[in-house]
Amino acid sequence: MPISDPKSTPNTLTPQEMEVYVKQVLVPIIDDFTKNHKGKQFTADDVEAL
Amino acid sequence: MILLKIIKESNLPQTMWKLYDKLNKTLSKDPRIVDNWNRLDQDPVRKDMAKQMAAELNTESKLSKSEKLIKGFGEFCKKIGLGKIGDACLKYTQEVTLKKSAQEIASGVASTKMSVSVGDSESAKIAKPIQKGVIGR
Repeated sequence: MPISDPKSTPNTLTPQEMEVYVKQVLVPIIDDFTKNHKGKQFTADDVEAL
Repeated sequence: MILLKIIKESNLPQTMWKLYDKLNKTLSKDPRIVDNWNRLDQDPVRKDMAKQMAAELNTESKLSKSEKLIKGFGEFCKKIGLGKIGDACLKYTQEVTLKKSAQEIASGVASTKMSVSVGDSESAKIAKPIQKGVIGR
């Protein structure tokens, strides 16, 4: 019976890749969003639209 | 891509499209994440989080608005079962907070440092300098 190792799934992103994603993709988008909202009140729709 | 089709069919604003598109491109490596992302049953959670986030964003705190949003996004991801992205977001926020605290401590220490003036001590004032050729006279 073959032994399968669930950890070795090649399609799974590593925590390091996730951290890179947060820093390189998410943070710039959110920074842009907050810069465009400078001095304005945030609504739930604004946040949801992000 | 199923997710892209869903996004195109719905009337999402351009900003949302951008975030979802990038998220999809980056994370499509992991099919479990794509399966979890943008499920219809996430809508009430998303609306709840958006309300909470808006309230938090409009109040002053130590965290910047971007940090609050990343933290909120991380919490949202965790709530909908995307624990890994959620953890990465929360880790990022923690790192930023720790960095800020360290900077605050360092600047606090720097401002409380006493200035020490180095001058002649009493004994140094009394003592006469030894001159060449006058020793023992």
